[in-house]
Amino acid sequence: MGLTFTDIQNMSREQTELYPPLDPIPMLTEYNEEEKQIAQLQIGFATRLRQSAYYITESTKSTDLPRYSDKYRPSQTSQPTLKRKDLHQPFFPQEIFEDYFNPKRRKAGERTSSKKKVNLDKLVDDAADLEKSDAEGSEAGSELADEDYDVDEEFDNDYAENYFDNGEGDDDDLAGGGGDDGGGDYD
Amino acid sequence: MTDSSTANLCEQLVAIEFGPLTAKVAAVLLHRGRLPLPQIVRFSGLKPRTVRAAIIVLVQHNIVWHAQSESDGGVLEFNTDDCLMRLRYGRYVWQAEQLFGKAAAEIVQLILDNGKLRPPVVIAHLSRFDRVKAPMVYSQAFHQLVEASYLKPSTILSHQSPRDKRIKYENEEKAKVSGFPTAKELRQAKEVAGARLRREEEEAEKIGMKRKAKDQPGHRSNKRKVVEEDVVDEDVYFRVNCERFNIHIRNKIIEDTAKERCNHSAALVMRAILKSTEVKQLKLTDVRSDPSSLASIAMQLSDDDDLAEGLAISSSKKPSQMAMLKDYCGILAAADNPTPAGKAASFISFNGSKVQVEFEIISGRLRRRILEAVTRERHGDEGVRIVSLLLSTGKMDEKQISKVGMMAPKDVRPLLSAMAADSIVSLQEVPKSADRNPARTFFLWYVDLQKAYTVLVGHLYKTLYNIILRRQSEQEEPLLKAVLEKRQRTDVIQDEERLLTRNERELLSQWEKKREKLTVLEMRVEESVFILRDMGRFSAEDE
Repeated sequence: MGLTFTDIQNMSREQTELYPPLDPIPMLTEYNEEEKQIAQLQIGFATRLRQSAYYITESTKSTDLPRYSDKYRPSQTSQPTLKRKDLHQPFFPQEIFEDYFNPKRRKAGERTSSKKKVNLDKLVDDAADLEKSDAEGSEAGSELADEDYDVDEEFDNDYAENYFDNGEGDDDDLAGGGGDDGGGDYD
Repeated sequence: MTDSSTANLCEQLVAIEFGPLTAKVAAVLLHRGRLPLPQIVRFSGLKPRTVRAAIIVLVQHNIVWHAQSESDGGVLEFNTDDCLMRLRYGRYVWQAEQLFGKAAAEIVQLILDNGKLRPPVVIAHLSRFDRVKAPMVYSQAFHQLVEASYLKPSTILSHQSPRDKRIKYENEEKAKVSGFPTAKELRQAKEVAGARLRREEEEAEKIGMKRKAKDQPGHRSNKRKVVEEDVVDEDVYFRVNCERFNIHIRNKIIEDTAKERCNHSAALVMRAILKSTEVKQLKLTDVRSDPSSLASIAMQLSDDDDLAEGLAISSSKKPSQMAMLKDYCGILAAADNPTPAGKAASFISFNGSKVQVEFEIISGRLRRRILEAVTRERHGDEGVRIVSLLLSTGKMDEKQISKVGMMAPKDVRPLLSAMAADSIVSLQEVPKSADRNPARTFFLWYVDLQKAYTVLVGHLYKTLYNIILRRQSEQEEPLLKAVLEKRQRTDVIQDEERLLTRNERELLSQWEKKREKLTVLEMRVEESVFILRDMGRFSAEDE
């Protein structure tokens, strides 16, 4: 049972074929006019969608030299984009729809309103007792998630706090001064 | 979460139609399941604006559902069924033309291009070249399509993931049960939730047509009757009802099967039978059609259909149309063979006056035929013999198979293990002793149809994926790619004949022939998928 050493030595060292031979090779039988029409319709969908607003493209900067024939080639501007008036808002997830068509206005509103929420939360969390139900815990968790979202925007504020060291916390310890020195180097 | 072959196929379909960026988003949703937006942005590695655009496009085309969950906020889920229907769009447009004419075909094509649209927008777009008569033609065609439920209204409810809704309803039902729920109550909660979901969907879809009082001026002014007529509601967004078109695909397959089994005239009779109840056939999951009488079938037969050429008539006098029709119905119903074998080979059930098409029996037979064809190709005639044996007798031991099937045990054993690797047959272990010692257990082989069909559908999805990939790679071949790019130039679009050389035009025509062949192949494989997957859904439960 199994392969003996002699069997292994006698086995061929050539690479086995990637695919078994197909016998007979399958050929596509002739198709009639009806199938041809349906195939053309199916191909038509892909061609039309390529030129429509539903084909998402991003603009890329290419480093090729500008050429004369560029004016004849389809450019990024010739690809139509999604228009708000063509789409019915209630069908879509509201946040995603709004964020796509109004990118700037909404973020300003969110930042000021959630900043207030963050402060209140801190007060509430400090004052309340630790035994709270899961629902409230998860709500605080989601608020914290919002807060994290905003922390990215208030990035520079944190760094600004660490930047200037007015010598208040200086010890004789090098360890205490090392961190703040790093902040002071970028002068 | 979907298995890898379905996921890859859906990703490719999205890539060809909506671009590689949208395909990345789709791939993330397919391979990782239901996700909220920030996670999709992270996993796909694209800019958030691009991801939002991709999601808006996919929701517009009904490929992605969205829902609000308490734990994750807004979540998105991929709708694989509707994505795979995109392979049949060409067929749907062609079918609409056959049924209602060119105007209806154009309407269906426009709505499929855009996912969903309102009637005024459709009519305005299509009659932009001819403002005088075209609007009337198109609105009539639209009305016909909506009335026969080929177009259905798109509701806000249909954009929310049905699984999320079902879970929500089930939780509500379970919350009503006080104390500790038993298994029976849990089952009841599930059924009630399912029923509620279906009812809500049906009600939401009734908003398409509204009754509008239409004043009909009578000949005498004091005899004015206010006639109420159904008019298409202009504020509702309509989408294509794929189920209704699938009915036509199924009927065509049944007709072709009848033609193969008997002859051309039998196929004509079958077509007439199917057409007589077509208006009522709304779902693929019907077990059998509504009963129809011989008179209504005879109405569907046109006068120049010669039924006599399909029958061997002994007397010289030609019998009447109705008598021949009755003969055909008897043949199709296998009336001469009232055994279970005969019933399994019948197309319709005919009880003297009413005819009903047996969809379940026909589809079971067609799927078995596909299974046997695949087995024959991979394992030869001996494999088919074992499969038929197991299907007719149930579960058998290896020794019994070799005895009853009249094959040597040394032939049977490798065949069974090869077929088990392909999931065509499966093993059932029956232990003789309590400790499940393999030397003292019976190993019974049987054909698990459900599993075999699922595996086959997976292989077919992989085939479809390969065909699509082959088409894409043919397009990427360097010479052809250069010519195709040249063709995209604005000056060449207007004057192709002069600006492209003869070689380039030849290359293009060769490429178009290849593309057509590959698309026809894709359609044919898709038909097998239709038989295995869509014609096999008879239970009310989802997967």
